[in-house]
Amino acid sequence: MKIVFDNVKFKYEEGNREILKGISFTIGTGEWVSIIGHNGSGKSTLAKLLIGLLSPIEGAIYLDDIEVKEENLYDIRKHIGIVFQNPDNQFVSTSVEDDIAFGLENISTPRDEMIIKVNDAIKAVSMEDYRYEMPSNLSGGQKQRVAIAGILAINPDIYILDEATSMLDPKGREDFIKIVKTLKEAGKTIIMITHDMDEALLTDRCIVLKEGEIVRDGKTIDVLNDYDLLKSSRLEMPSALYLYHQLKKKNYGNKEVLNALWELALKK
Amino acid sequence: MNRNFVLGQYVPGNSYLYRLDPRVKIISTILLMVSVFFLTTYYEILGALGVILLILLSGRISIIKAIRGLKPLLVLSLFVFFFQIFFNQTGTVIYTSELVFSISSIVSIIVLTFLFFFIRRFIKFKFILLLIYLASIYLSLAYLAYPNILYSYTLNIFDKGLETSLFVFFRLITVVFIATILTLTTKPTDLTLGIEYLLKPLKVFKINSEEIALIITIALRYIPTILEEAYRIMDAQASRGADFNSGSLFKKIKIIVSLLIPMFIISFERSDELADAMLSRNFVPGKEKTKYHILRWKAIDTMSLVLSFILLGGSICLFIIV
Ligand SMILES: Nc1ncnc2c1ncn2[C@@H]1O[C@H](COP(=O)(O)OP(=O)(O)OP(=O)(O)O)[C@@H](O)[C@H]1O
Ligand SMILES: [Mg+2]
Repeated sequence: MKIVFDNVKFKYEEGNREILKGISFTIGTGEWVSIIGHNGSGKSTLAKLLIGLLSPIEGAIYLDDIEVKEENLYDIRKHIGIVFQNPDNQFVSTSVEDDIAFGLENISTPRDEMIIKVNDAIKAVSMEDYRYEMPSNLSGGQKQRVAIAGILAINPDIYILDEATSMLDPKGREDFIKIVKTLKEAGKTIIMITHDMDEALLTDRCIVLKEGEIVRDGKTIDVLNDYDLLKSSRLEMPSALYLYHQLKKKNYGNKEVLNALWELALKK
Repeated sequence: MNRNFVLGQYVPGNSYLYRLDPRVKIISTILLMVSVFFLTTYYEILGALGVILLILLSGRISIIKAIRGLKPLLVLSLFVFFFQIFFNQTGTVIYTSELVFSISSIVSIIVLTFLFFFIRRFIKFKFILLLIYLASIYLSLAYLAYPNILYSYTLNIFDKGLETSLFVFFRLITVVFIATILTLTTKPTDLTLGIEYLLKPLKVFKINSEEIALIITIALRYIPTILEEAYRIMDAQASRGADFNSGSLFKKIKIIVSLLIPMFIISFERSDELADAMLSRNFVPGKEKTKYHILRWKAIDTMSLVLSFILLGGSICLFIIV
């Protein structure tokens, strides 16, 4: 499904500052996009607009040809799954399996199908041992795994992941990236909002937000290679690219770099 | 401060008590509680307590865990017990004791009180400490008469008074035990599911039992989280010098307000985000949906229900006959 943002402006009722100042972009089916930007740049707000929890004060958002607005929300939300930033406040039920089943119940999935989907989702995030656990007995990362499982079970066309890995351990992250890669292969559209530049580097396309405006939208490798742009957007380069640039600054050629790395490795 | 308070005290296990239909468990709990109130003497109550203990044992529930469930009510039941002993003066005197107030006994009480509150902060078995404290106060009042008696009071314990206090004490404990069986063996999910089914008839009054169940679920879900948060804020404020355990009343109120304001703000945010999360997962209030959990009535459910009715019948018979 194609996502279209057409000159979207947004302001919270309480504040008088414009949070999004005319955002336009199109994301095609099957694209894997990262959205990066400093704290408060409007990333989460953008995600909430897309799923119709907020509505723009100007401009419009479309999913294929359906406009995101009140009367279409039920249809639209069937196609979008979102993991929010704070895993504590999206755990609805009193046990892991019930929380994963919550979204399936809402779209009236038949019970036998639901049981299979819940089982698969629990397995995908390695939470088999915590199936009946109450959320208050889970860690932040475990709650994040449950939140991810909750949308995997629904298997929507579009996945929005708002800092969905911020609390995961290295193994959890690795598993997560594997899951996302299989989703991409299955033709799903994936939008990853993240502060982890190494994670962003995996995506195909990168959108940079700064104070509510898109300052760059392009191929991830180009965007994340632009040191000045990232610096002026209060962001960092991915560590691998940063290292590369630092070495280049010191006029190290490929051979010298290799030697220097060998030396480093041998010292250890 | 007691930080271990958990509303859903569910302890995993798998005896027949765990496998019973939550509907049966809820109804039986109510039936048994009602039967307790038909009992009129303390030995009948002791019998009932025996039956409850049998149920606990047959369900392989650890008695220690069940007693832990009594904890919040122990002090209250103790208070009720002593209140009855002191003020219920009917029947014949079975025990007399001269309680004297003298300089030495008063000093002793003050020292004991100091010690009690001091030791309390370092010890685990607070209830036993409380009992020791009360016993030592009694001993000081009974035996310390030096240098002269300022005031003396004759404590008379009457047989009826003792009986009633035992009766009230054991009745309270029995009722709490019954409730504990339910909460120890039933997952919050099943409990709300049971309530949902039992409240279905309310549809006549246009009350949707599914929504009630959802509200209960969310309350159960968030009570531990919000408590945890309260402790976190308290710790944060304690690390900046706030003292929640002492200080003048005014100071205490100030500290409590400083706890409540962030709690309210955080709770508003939480509820907003929770609603967002539910809506984005296609929650539509009142819409028909399928269910992940279903309840199945088994033979053992019928048996348990019949047994509960028999117990209720028995206690009603006792009530009528005696
Ligand atoms: N409910 C709200 N009411 C008023 N203002 C809000 C609300 N939520 C967010 N804001 C403001 O909107 C701006 C953008 O917030 P948003 O959550 O979209 O940022 P973000 O890019 O997701 O930041 P982060 O990286 O910290 O997650 C912030 O300045 C924030 O203060
Ligand atoms: Mg955000």
